[in-house]
Amino acid sequence: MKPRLSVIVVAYDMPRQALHTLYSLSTAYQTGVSADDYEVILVENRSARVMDADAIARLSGNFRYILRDEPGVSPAAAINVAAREARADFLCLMIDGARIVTPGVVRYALEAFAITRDALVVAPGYHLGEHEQQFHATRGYTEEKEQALLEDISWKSDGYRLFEISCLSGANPRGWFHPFMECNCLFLPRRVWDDIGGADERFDLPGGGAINLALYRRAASHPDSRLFVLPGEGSFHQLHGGVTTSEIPGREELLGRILEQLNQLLGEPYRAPSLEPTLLGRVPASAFPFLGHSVERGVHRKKNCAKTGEPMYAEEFLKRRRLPPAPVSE
Amino acid sequence: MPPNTVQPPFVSIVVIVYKMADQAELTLRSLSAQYQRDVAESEYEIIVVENESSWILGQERACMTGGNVRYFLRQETQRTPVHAANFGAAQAVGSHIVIILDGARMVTPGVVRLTLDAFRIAPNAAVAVPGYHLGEKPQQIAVNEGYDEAAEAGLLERIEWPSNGYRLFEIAVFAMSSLMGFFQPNAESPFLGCSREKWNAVGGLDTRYDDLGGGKANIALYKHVLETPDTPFYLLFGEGSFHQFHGGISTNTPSGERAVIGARIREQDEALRTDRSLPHAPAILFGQLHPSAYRFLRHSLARVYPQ
Repeated sequence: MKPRLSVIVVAYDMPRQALHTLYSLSTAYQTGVSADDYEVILVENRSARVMDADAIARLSGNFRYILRDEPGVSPAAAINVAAREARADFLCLMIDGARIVTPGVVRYALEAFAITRDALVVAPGYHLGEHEQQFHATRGYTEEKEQALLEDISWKSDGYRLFEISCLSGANPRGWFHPFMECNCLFLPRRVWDDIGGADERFDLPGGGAINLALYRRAASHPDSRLFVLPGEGSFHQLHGGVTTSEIPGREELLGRILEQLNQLLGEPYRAPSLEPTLLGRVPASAFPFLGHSVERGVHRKKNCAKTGEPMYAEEFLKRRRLPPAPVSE
Repeated sequence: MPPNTVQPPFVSIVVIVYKMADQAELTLRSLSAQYQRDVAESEYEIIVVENESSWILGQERACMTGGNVRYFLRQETQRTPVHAANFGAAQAVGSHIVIILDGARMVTPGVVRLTLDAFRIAPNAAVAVPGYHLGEKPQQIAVNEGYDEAAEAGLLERIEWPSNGYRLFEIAVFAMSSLMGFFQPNAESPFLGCSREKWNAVGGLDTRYDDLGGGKANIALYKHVLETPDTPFYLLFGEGSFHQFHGGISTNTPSGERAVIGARIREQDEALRTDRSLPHAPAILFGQLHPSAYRFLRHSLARVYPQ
């Protein structure tokens, strides 16, 4: 039977973390859905540390594992390989395989697609640990400390406790009422994926550079896309020596090249798409601090927009051809 | 998980009117497809049931607000709207029913679209909209401090209603029954929807609630529906139902008189229900949050997560 959703996970040199990610996508962990609802396609670019295929086979659910040789340093081609294998009409892109998700992401994403086939669904991004992992060495954060945190909360038995040991990622530092920069657990229709040309393989820098920002920007700018945000769900980055998400030598210089390539390939300076989010899902108590942060930042943004006369969701109004609402009072 | 190919829901919204012609007209305008966003008249119907009084809305005014309005005038011998509501629900042709027991409730422009969408996600769902009162204080209190129709008309003029219905949040407060916010159980909703099947299974509104305004009938219905097994609860947290001043029993009666009536109504409820606790049904938030409503999300969070 054809699944409704194909989840694409790309991994490279992160077997332990990616196995966590896959477990979080298994039917033993996801709630309100069954194995028939979705498939998970893991594409791994070969490294000295490849994943344990038997361990993947033991997971409950509908998993496929593709191990491939990648001559370059970007995951772009791997994503496209997985997308060609995907059978469903809706895709979930997890370009960085080191992301554990919460137990409701699949259910609520499918609910959004039940409303509209044009849904673009965002599970907000977090980093495990008290601080963003770009500065892990300075802060003394290590993989061992992260494993201890995960053990402390017994995350496999209650995935919503991940909120207790995490902070917001740089993709969405100001919460749900500000434009998102990108999303590392992004659901979109295959039609939109095809329309935007899939993953742009010109993003050939380590880790794909800013390919994920470009994908998000292009999918959000698609005239039919309608943004949904899952305020009670999330994807949680594990430390794994990633190019932009850990403190590595030469990071600043590399980030400069990444930004330059992004703007060049987009043909304009990058800006986060300002779409109005429809929120969907239960919000567990552990996520209240992040919702609280979001509304405080939202209030701040509302005041700024009232001062400048700029609509909060300018691109939404352009897309939906609605007149902007009357300015709101502070 | 329902696929997209299932028959789309059609909602019948039942509005009960009694001695509130002007307010009911505004309510019906707020339910019209001209005001509601992204929805067509063909996707829902409005069933207006008016109990005869000295101040009739009437068929002409009711049906002027849309081509999907059906109007019924009834002679009611009791002082309760529950018979009218059950009568209205019996006329419904929709797969789903929404009950607005107090016709003096204006709504925001997303309620119909989102209600339809929630039933598309989960045909077995209960859907509710939080309740607000127009004015700076709940009207039970404001009525003792001079709040009246004229003050309310001034507020609506200030926000240029109906040009942007979400600005209603700027001139409103949570109703007492929604004061717990979005993350704790509330007593009732002034806009409650479920499938016609579920409505029939719970038996509609309990007709034993024969006191003024139906007493606690709406509260009992809310609990009954939300606690029915296999009923996911979608709260349209970014929408609102706003009570207009109209001389209603529990909301707009001066305090001394209200205390006497309130005691009698509570006594009846105690006799009819053994479990009067708030319904245990964690809400699934659904909708967009207009910036004017941020303060209500703040309030809701403060109740469960003091910062």
